[in-house]
Amino acid sequence: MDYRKIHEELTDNKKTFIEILTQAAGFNLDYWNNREKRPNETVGKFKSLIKFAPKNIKPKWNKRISLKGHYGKIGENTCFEFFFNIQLKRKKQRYKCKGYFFDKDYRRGVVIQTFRVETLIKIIK
Amino acid sequence: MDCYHENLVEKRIEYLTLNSKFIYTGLECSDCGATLWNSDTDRKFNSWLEKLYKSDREKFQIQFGLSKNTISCIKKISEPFPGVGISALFKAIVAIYLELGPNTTFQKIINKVIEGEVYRSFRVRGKDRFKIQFKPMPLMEINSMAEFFDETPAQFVEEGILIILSIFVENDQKLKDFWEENIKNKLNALLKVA
Repeated sequence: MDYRKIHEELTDNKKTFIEILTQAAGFNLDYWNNREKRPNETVGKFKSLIKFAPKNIKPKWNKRISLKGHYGKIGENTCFEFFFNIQLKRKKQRYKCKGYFFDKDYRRGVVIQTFRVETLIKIIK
Repeated sequence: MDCYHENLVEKRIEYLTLNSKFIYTGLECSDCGATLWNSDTDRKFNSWLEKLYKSDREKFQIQFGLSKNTISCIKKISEPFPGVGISALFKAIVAIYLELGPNTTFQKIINKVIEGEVYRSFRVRGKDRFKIQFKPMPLMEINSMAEFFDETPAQFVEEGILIILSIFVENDQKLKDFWEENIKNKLNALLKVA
């Protein structure tokens, strides 16, 4: 798919935030693995588990603090942050997801800075 | 406080999966040790996985056990598909289980089914063993989901099959409707292709 079409898909007002996020991750995903402190889940788990986020989720938008780093300058100025629960079989877990879209003027992908378990709520025996 | 990965260096990075090392050149943050996985890494990883699939099929096989009771139920489900092997049927069931996973109605159904008599009866001991080979992408998804549940891939596959079969067998109208509306057609489509 060409960049113009990708940009149109990722800025389509009819889509929900989560639709845009999962689509952006399919087009161009930058994901940070292996951080020493509070590491993210693996990229494979992100791709599988993000599908469990509620379709109507509304993220919190914050001004991006650092403009350095990969895509720092060309990324959008605000980053999204949201939490969601997965309750399946006997397990309930709360996840945190944080990142930002890029490019600033021509959206074509997403950087995921944080995707990790926030709380293991319960394991029902 | 989160690291913003401001100091990046190019490095040789090892990613361990399926007891094998995928080695690629990528960016590492010298402040926090995080490594960047991007679309280029994804492409290289997929091509590495395909090569691994061709050279070491055993890594893509999952062995699991099912009770006699479960097997007789499987035979009943497979009746409309003469000529379709049990392996294709298992793969179709697992594919449906993975696809339906994020569906909130399905999640409620899972939570109901695992408390039921049928599911418990399927879990009895005395198991026949099966070995199924998956393509790389479904296998990676099975591994991710199994990790989420702190299960082995074999446990995840086995439980997925038991849950889908329980929906088929349970005498509950909501479950029967769910089977008709969400599982039956998918099974038909997948098994016709197979």
